[in-house]
Amino acid sequence: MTLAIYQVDLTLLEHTFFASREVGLLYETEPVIGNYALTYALGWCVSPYNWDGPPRYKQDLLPLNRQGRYVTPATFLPGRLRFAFSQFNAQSDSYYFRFDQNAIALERSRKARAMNFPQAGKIRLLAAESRARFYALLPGEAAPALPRYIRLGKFNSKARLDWQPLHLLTSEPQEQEQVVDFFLNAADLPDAMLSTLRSFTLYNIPPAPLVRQARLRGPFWTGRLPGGEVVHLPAGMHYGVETLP
Amino acid sequence: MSVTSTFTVLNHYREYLLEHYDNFPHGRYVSVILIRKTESETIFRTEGSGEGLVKELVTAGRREDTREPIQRVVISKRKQTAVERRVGRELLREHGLLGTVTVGREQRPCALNTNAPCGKCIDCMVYGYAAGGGGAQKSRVMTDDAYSLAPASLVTGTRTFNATFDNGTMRNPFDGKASTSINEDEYVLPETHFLDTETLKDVTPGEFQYVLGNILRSTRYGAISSRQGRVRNMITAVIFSDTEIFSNLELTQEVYDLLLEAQGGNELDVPLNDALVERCVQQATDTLLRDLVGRPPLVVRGEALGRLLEETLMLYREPERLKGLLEEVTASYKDLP
Repeated sequence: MTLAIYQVDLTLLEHTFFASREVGLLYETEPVIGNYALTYALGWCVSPYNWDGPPRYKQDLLPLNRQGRYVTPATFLPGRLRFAFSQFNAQSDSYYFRFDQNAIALERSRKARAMNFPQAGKIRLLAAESRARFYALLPGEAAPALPRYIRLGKFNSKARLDWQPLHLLTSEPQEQEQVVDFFLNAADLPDAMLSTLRSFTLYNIPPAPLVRQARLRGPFWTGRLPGGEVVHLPAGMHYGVETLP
Repeated sequence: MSVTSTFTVLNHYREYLLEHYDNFPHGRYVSVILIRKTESETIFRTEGSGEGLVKELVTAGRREDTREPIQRVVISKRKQTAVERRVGRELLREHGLLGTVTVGREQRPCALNTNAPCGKCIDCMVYGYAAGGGGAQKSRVMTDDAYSLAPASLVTGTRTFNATFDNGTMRNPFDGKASTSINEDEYVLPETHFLDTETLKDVTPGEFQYVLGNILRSTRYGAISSRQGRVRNMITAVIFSDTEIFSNLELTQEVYDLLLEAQGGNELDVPLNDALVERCVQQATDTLLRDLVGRPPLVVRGEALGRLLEETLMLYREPERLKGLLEEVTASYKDLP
């Protein structure tokens, strides 16, 4: 199976929100886009419109390992990230309403029961025109469906993708030691490589921790961009969702 | 004979719509390109009374010489759907088509944000819900942040407001104390143009008519909408495709460039002329669609769009037929697995 690797630049065209961290009434998006979210956004796996249950990572992502498809998390480019803040509050469709303890009451005489989701708060979003980069690996013989626009996050915010193919310098991955500057998903690295992980910055975020500036030893793909720049990417990354709870 | 089968115009575009609701995505996209034009003072803010409008620093245009950052006023995504959903729910309520939910031991009507969506009405099925113990339904109507064409400095103003007592003065008639209720609101000027795209995904013909009707029947957006906030929605194109098309921000930037060129200045001359904006939107649409990766999209505009909108208009003018359609669509959700 041959492999095609793309470097993808992602430009947010609207404010984008992920509930990565909740601090009291502040709901924050962390400055990264997880690769599971990207996989869904790219349309590589279909998730139903209606779903009543826990996350579907195992059933949705495992088939992609067999197809040989993978994307890395998106790392924001230096100087290309801004945040935006906004406040939100829920509203009912009745004429009379009253804010009770974390609930909206519709009836004058009856107290509403508190809800298990936020009625008001502040959100921190990734701002429009921020730019991030990720790598997509697909089987070479697959007719690549490379979408130009995708939607991300809780509010389905639009983003543009610019794809650049990597020209692979070798037909097989080569044993190397590299410091990988951009975000990698620690759960997705091959076991043999994980044991060589020496210095790294850990970013703890659900559902799986991310690492960057990681010094790794093992098989690497090396490819050249049309502009001449050379990129090293760990070989053998796959969705490590079977290890997730 | 079903009401759906009577849409002679819409049925031309059948292959871009679904026959029946399906729980899995098919990638059939309908993008409705809108010009939203304010027709009174309007306020779009998130921080409450006395605070400023929502503005964003974005790139002005797409050409070399217009790539400087400017502030634009934003109508955020949720402030659009919130209004249009309510307009639709009004209609469903009127025809008795909102479902009921059992909460504890009593039946309650489907209501927004009460943690008890019915999950059976058209609104729940099209615009989605996520609450309670009944799982979640993703929205199949996606809105985009809408940006003002002109920079915020050209299309906003401020007004001082005060609240007087019953006697019409700022002195309390009972104790003679002065009122503290005086503040300033920033607002969007009348005749400000916002560009907007609403994307419908995998909808049936009946659902399409419902969403389109909601867009055309929504007239008040933003804060204090009982006294201001009039907005007119003009549909300039409906685009059928198998993938997402360009974004609002790109459309706004492209149209901004074309307007500057048409007006021949280096700053927009406001208020903008409707026909000119529409012409520039059509031209920008063509330019931006060239970038698209996928089956060439079908762009419906001009006369064809007129016929499509006429069909929707006629449907809404015949309450019995409309009711029949809404009942048909509601019934189609009955036997979902």
